[in-house]
Amino acid sequence: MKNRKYIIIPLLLMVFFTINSIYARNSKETIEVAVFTGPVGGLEPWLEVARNYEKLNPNIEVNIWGNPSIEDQLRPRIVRGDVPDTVFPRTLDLMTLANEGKIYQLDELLTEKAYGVEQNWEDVFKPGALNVGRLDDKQYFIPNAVNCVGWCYNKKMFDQYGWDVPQTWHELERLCAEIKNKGIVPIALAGNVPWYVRRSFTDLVVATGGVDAFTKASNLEPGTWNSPVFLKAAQRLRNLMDKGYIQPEAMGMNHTISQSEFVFSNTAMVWVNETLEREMRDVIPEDFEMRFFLTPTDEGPAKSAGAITLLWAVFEEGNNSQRGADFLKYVFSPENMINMYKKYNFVGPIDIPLEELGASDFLLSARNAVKEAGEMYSIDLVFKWYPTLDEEVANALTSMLNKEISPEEAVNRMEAEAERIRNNEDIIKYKL
Amino acid sequence: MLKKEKTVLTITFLFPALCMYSVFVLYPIFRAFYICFFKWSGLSANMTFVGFNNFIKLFTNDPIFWMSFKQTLLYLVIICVATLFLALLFATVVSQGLKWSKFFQIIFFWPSLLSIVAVSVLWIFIYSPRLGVLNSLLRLIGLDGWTRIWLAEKGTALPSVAFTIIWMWVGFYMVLFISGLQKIPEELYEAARIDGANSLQSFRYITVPLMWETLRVAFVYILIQAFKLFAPVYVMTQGAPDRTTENLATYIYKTAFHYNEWGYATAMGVIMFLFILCITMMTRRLTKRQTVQY
Repeated sequence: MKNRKYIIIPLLLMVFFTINSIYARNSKETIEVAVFTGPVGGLEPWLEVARNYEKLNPNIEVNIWGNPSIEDQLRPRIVRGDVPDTVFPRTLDLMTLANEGKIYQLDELLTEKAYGVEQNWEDVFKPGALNVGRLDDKQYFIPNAVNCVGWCYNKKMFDQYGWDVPQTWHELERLCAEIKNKGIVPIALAGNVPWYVRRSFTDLVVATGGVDAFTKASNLEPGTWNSPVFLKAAQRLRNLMDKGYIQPEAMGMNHTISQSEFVFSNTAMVWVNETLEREMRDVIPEDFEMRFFLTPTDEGPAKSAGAITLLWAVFEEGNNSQRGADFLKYVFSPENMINMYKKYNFVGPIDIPLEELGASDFLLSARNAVKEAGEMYSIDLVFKWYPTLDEEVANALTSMLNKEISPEEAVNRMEAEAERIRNNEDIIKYKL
Repeated sequence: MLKKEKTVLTITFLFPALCMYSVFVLYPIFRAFYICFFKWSGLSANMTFVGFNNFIKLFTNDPIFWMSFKQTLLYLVIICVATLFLALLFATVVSQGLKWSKFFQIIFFWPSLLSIVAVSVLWIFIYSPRLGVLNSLLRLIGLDGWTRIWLAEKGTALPSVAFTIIWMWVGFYMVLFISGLQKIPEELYEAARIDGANSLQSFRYITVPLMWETLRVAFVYILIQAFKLFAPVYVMTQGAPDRTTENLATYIYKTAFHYNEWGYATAMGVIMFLFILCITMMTRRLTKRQTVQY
């Protein structure tokens, strides 16, 4: 064959480059990261984080993948013992995994320098943010964000009618009455989404009785779920519905619809969390202005902020857990968080200079409200520990708001489920 | 020799399908019968043998299971009766050879072609209390008092979910019945008319007996489908409000994936499997008739 060289040379080149790339790949350290792509919007932001990390660590290759249901792929791998290094799941039972010793502890890493700054890693977090990832006094998890439950209000409407941000619970109730007198529905609520109602209730419990009341209930102390504090909170929530301060159709609305009701000025406020602006950015009218406040107490403004949390973790059994933890340190570095805010409007658990970054007035008002409150607690943790309690609390509240049971019956149901869990030796008990 | 070669050929072609069936259907079933005797979180290779404890708990200490079971039977009755009745009615009307009958066949059959999740999401919007089509229509015709929070009120949630399923399935069974009806010779109806039978009598003494096998197959099939129903219930209500729409499938799913009690969930699955098996066999036995030849 005359033209054999035209076949052999490309073939040899192909073999050469294949071997070269295999060699290059094998000579690099790899870490595997699995992410739930919901909160930030797709995999692209995380791919960018991975590439930036690789630039800082040229001998590392980050194999990052993700989708809205990574748990389905992770579960069989966890059983097999073939786990990624770092994960950010939505519904995986990380608590059980931590209890079984499968989660890497991050306490030591927190005392090391953070990426790009002189401070220790633990010092770059918002005050109280790391608490939501602690279990049995050890740091197992890093929160993806610490978005706090509170009230988004229509600033233009408030200014128009001369309404002030309520400083106590009673002022809030009086404000609702005033708003209703103007023919406007005061509150939108995602009543059809169990955890939204449950979060509002928990928020109210803490506003009524302090974090301590909720901590005791989280520790399943007898008589806490139907204590006077919980009962008062339930009665207050029911009162809002009975007096027509919450939209009557609220129990049939999901969070998108209830938030839409608010941004289209059908209600004056929505009881949700500070991610509303980012979630609804495509539909918020241009001239719409909103601000944020936390649920006030009987005595004055909020003293604590209830954070919603999804958690990152590193698997102890991962092929490269240490490096996986280091990747986590990069993800939650000021530099990366600033970048993610600028590009994707994502606010994580790290304290970044939002004013300098041109953050919206809404975001600044939310950040300031949380800062002024001082203390942060996890509004979700106990319900991650005990999913049946989560469901029963949500069911009881739904029935109460549908006026099928009284507040007393609702809190008694919660206490009954707490007792059932307390008495069941097969269920692992956690403590705050 | 030829027979032997034919057998070998048959097995060769069946083998891949049999492998797939064994791996993805038979193996999980047999494995379920094994896992149901263990306590397992689903997150580790360690399983603790508990014997019959899962079944004892199920029968003596789980009121939610029995509530879900009762609601499953409710779904079964509503969906089976309404779907088959409407399907037979539509099939009978559409088979009359009336004008536009082909068009109506397509209209009624079309929902069964859609994704069940897409249909569930569509009906969430239809049932939406403020902006949904249903309440808006009721307000438009002056029936404001009839508006409801369809998926959030205890009295309306389960029927609303059931109606969605009926809407989706009627078309499929209608087509099944049409093919059955078309096999019945027209002469039988003519003879009946000559003998003075009215429409109802023709339906009862000609249509039903000659359609019996088709009806029987349809009934068993819809029974199994309705018993295993998961997607519409989970997408539309997740068992809410306060578990009033919860059926066995959603409760088993939650027990496994939310509560991480895989051993117990599997035990419930085994009971569900045995129940469906018994009820199917019973239904086939009770509805067995001598085949009518014509």
